[in-house]
Amino acid sequence: MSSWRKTWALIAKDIAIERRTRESLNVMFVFSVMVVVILNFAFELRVENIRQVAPGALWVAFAFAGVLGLNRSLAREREDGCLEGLMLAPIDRSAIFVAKAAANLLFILGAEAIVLPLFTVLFGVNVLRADLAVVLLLGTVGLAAVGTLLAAMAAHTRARDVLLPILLLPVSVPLLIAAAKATGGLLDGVGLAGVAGWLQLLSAFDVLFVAASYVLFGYVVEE
Amino acid sequence: MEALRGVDLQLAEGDFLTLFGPNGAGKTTLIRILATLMRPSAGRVLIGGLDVAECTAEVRRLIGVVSHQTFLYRDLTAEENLLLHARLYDLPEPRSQVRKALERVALGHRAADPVRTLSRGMQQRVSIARAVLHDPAILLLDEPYNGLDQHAAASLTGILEEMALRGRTVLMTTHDLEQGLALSRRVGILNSGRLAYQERTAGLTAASFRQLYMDVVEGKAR
Amino acid sequence: MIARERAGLALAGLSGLAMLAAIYMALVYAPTERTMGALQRIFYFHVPVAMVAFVAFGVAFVASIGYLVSAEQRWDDLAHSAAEIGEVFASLVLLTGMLWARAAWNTWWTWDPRLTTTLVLWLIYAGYLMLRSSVEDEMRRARYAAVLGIIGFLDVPVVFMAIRWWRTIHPVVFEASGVNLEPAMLTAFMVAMVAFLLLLAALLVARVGLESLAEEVEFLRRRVQ
Repeated sequence: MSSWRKTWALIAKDIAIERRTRESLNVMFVFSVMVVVILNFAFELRVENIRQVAPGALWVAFAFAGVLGLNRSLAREREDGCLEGLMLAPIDRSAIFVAKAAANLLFILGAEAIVLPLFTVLFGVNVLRADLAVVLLLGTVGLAAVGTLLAAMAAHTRARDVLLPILLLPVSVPLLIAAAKATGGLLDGVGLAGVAGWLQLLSAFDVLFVAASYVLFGYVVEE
Repeated sequence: MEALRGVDLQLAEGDFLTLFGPNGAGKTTLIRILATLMRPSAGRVLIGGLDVAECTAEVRRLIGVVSHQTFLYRDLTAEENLLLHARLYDLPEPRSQVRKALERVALGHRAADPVRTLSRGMQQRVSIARAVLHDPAILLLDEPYNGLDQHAAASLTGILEEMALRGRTVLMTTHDLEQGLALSRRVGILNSGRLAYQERTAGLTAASFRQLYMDVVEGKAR
Repeated sequence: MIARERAGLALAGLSGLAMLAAIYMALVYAPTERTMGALQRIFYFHVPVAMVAFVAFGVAFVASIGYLVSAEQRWDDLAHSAAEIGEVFASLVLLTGMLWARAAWNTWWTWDPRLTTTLVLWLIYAGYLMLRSSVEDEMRRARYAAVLGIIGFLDVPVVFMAIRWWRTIHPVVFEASGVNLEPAMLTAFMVAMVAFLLLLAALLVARVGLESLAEEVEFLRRRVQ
């Protein structure tokens, strides 16, 4: 289908830019590390068992890094009217959304993959495990989908970048709770079956918000 | 608040219309509506006989747009930018068509350079190449000469003359009275959202038109 | 006086009377609760206000859809007004919740699922209001706000489920109660519900009217320029 090829061309465009500049990945990675280090200091001073706060700290780092990556990604489309250039072409707005969200998903996952080993070292908690990949994927899909929608709006406001965390984080509360809880469960050794409930919540969030964002994106970019 | 009021405009195939008007007259809004970037709150837009609201994809294939924004990704090369658009427009031979388009604006030798490294004038030339890449029947230009250096302006004029020769339809908005008169077959004046004047260029001199323009804009004529 | 203004005044008057009735019912008529004593009476304000806040956000949700479908400004006026009033009511829920917690259990906050959900909702709609104030173009502002108004409300059930699940795992130190109501208490509660619903309606009419006036003023101002 021609539409898929066009969507892929757009994703390839974002990958090409990222490969050349490494802008988003760098920023997300450095910021994640910074958050992890700061949280480590903050908790180590008061918390007996650092393992207890590890899941939450991990997802806080991912959420904030994700916001940075999303901002950069959509700000780039605003420069020189690039997004409008795309809209001039015979391509569905929803295809533009899928491409943008997919690219954002890839980059946030990429940043997460780089942070995990570092997190293992700094927090002393082994997060390099296969079952965690399921949680990471489910959590990041939801974040990327609704994050792309909200970042597209934020990029066109006076407040710009600053507005995205204000819009995204409250909406993502269920996702962050479920992701952190599932991560914690897996680290405690209950296995994927033991966190099935949280995984279901994550999936429900994903389905609901991927669909909603897909439909609503057109209204955001069309005038 | 309406940007345009009761604009009734007709462009025949092969026509070249230049619209003048002060800032805030609605020139950009008109172009954006014709470019399918904006939906009119009232009225219909027919391009090539197709209703823009219904056959949007087909209409988009028919039009090419040039604006002061380049629509180019700075970190990609000129060629990569054009290849992306070639794919979005389903062009049969993307690579060779892109090569040809860049040659047309005399930038074939800079094809592999990131747009960031090109001068403003060169960037606009690449943007023009992007606009005509899919050989649109209609070209919409919103103040295209703004901020162009001589080289780029000459390139643009060359392309416009070529389009006129090949029977393509052109609608351009500009501040530059001389440039507009030289190229176009018809001129119009947009003032406060209304199309205040329309006439064939034959017979108009720069001086007479300038006077006419001042009269219309200052509310003395019509 | 045009019809809407008349309706607005009537609603305001009605809601005022209902509110007086509710105050009487809550403070005098309703029997004193066994365990918490007079303090429990805050329940007759806290819970109805919470439910009406939810109704307000629901109105904003429907109005947001209405705007996206019709592109008519009046839908946006309704969505804006409803979200704003809902935010005020949500603030009241949080405040009364904190007062209640402080008086009853000597703590300013409990992570009670319903209260926490209200807090998250408060944050979501604070974002809504900030988004609105950050966009100058009216049509874009209305469109963006409508999108957020839909996303925010769709989130409500998911937020509630997530938080409630989360709370069942953490040891719950106190519960915000009020489920087993005697008939007299139920009556007082119902009166309070009606009173606050009427208040919502009155405020909505007033606020939407205000919005229309503001638009007219803006329109005239630009004509003059």
